[in-house]
Amino acid sequence: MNGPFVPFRQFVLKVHSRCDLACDHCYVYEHADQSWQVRPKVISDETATWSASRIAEHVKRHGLERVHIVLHGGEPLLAGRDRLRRIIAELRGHLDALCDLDLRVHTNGVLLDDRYLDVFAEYDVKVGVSLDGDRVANDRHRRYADGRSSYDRVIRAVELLSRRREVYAGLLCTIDVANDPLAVYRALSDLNPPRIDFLLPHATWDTPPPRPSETAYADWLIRIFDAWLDEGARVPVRMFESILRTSRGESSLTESLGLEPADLVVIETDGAYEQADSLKVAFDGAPSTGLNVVSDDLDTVAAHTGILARQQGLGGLCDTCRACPVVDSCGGGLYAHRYRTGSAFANPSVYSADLLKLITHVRHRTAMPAHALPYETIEALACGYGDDHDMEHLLAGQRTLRRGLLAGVHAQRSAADGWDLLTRLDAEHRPAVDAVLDHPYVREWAARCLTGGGSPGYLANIAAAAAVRAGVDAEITLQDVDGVFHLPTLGAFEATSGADGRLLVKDERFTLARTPDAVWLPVRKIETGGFTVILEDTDPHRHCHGHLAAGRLPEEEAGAWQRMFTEAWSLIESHYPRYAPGLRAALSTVVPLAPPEGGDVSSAARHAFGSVAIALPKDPATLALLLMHEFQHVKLGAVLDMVDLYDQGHSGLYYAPWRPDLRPLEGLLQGTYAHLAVSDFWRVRRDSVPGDTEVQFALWRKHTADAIDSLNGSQALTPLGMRFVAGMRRSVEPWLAEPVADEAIALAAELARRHRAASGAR
Amino acid sequence: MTQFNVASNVTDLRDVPLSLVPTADVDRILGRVLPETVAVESVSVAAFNSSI
Repeated sequence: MNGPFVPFRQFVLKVHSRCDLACDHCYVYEHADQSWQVRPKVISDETATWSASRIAEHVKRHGLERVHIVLHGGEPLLAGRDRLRRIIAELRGHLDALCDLDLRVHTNGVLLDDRYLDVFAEYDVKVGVSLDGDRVANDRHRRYADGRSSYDRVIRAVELLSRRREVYAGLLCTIDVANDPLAVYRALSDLNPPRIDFLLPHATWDTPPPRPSETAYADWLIRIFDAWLDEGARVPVRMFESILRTSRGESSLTESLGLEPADLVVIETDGAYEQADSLKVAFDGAPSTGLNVVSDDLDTVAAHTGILARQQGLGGLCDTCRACPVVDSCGGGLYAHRYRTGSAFANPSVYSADLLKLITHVRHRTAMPAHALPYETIEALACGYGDDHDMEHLLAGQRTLRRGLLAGVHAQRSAADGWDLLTRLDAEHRPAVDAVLDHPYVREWAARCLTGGGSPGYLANIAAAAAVRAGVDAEITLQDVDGVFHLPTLGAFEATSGADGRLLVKDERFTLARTPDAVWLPVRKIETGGFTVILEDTDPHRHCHGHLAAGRLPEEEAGAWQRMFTEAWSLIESHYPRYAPGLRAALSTVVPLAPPEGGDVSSAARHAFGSVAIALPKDPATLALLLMHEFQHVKLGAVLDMVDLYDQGHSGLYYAPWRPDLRPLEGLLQGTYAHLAVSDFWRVRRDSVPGDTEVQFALWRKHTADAIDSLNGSQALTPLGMRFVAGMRRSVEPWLAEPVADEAIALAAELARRHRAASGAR
Repeated sequence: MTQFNVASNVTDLRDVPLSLVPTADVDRILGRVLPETVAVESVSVAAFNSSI
């Protein structure tokens, strides 16, 4: 058996070999291996120290950054609080300085109390509990030796853990197909654990599991999977997550699935190293290595043939498994479940029919298509336009990006509260969640978080806004960002110094629970002809436009925006009808900028799809121009988010007639696309307002055409990029042939010459 | 009429529960819109079956 050396990263430390329950499905006591009978009941301090030092030695030797240790049994709490504290302290003392130590304990829960939890909290030990579902399901097997139920004591333990989630790992449920799968699932998920896993009961071909039908286990799990998926996968289920992950080529989260090499070793109470203890179901002595912490280091254990056999991946499987279409997810199932006298482990799992059916079902239900842009949409956008149908494709892509970025932010710990509420709402009130996530500055916030500059805690504000929109009662602490407790799409509370952001949402009303007199600044909207956009003057993430955003507008300024927007929109609809449908479909927000010293300022931000920032100009026509200009950036940014129009590695810089500096290719592309609309604006405008408009048209059509030539000459456009730029050329070409007064052409040429000369470009 | 599409490499996540958004898709999205943030690949553990 050849292959790269695989160091151990997971250690199961058996701290007590006996149990206070007598579950009749237990693999430790009720199956082939009976080695527990000759083990010490409890691990000695000396053996614990040897174990810790052997693991530390292994970590140092192989430079391991993270290892996982599970305190296990039997029932580990039978070791007692004091001994557990000593063991845990020993492990932390040897390992904390060397690596990231993930320390867990798995218990039946009946002895768990706050004093144990105090110890676990002190040493950051996560606690998992075995619970087989509702009372009926749990009591089918999990009883005391005298037949008493363990259910009430376990539920009490779970309730204790629910109040101390920092040490709560999750619930393990062993399947019995005699139980009602949905009753089991609901009983577990209603306890709201951090994670659930369902375990196939240990069995082999020699001792197969109870099987009322050929695929009884798959059928049982599929009923749960369908309910779980339909409810938004609110509580993570390790088995389902692992199938989904391995179906995408990612790693499994459990040794019972996937093709990852085994990196786990068990240390028994007497210091004996053993292989995965599920092998106890195969035959007496099956997990044994004959090695011990006192005499043998972990490299010696890693060279044991039994360990190596579980590190062969696909090559370690039988022919039937290797030919199976779901082998990358199944991985042959748990090693122990393949055992049959005579052929040993060279068999499919005794659950192979179940795994094939379950994995196939999961893949079928979750097959995910990719976004695509129809060529007709590409063409319409390339020409500078795009209608509501075309915008639907861009909006769809943006919704995906925001969901993906949010999931990325979730990895940051301080986002946990918001994530819990948001995922619950996502499962039950998706439209409300989508409405909030579609707000342009949600993506800007996520991007800031992911680049180290944002506040992950603002996820609570996003979740709270969704709760308000969904009419769901909730209580959550909002994040103060730049002096406001902002609720995207709704408005903001002014946050005075030291204000408490605890938000209470009840009966479709919301208030800061401990600051009931906080000033509420509701979101402003401007509306004309059935077209409504947010006039965003409270969102703290709107400061991303390269210009100073205005503060909360006085009423009269908001009124001025409404009046000018009405006239600008009327102009766009009447004179620029090819731009209006796209704007109406995808422009959701306008951010007022602070008035500049002179001239007009406007901006679009790549992460704020659907929003443009503008300082209120002097007249409606200029506002129409700025809206059209900036919305071109919005559209092209969304296209670039989905498909590649140029070689990202291209480093050339180009003269851009609208900038004093040389621009990278994307900057040139963006500017050219925006000035396509600018040219069109002046082309039409000169018919209504003679004079300088003629010069503007002559100037910008030339600049735009020249810039298109630069783009074509870059040799860095992708085939799709060339097609896109050709569309831009198709729009501008007829404009070049439109008659313009000679004086205007001459003046435009002079202005262009001067700009190029000033820029220093050749 | 046949509609020809330009496929992106972005998986459609609109109907995927937030809690199930795959890591690989997050990475792909980051690679597209925040390429400077693409993290070192994280290694998950195929954990011991009998604990959680």
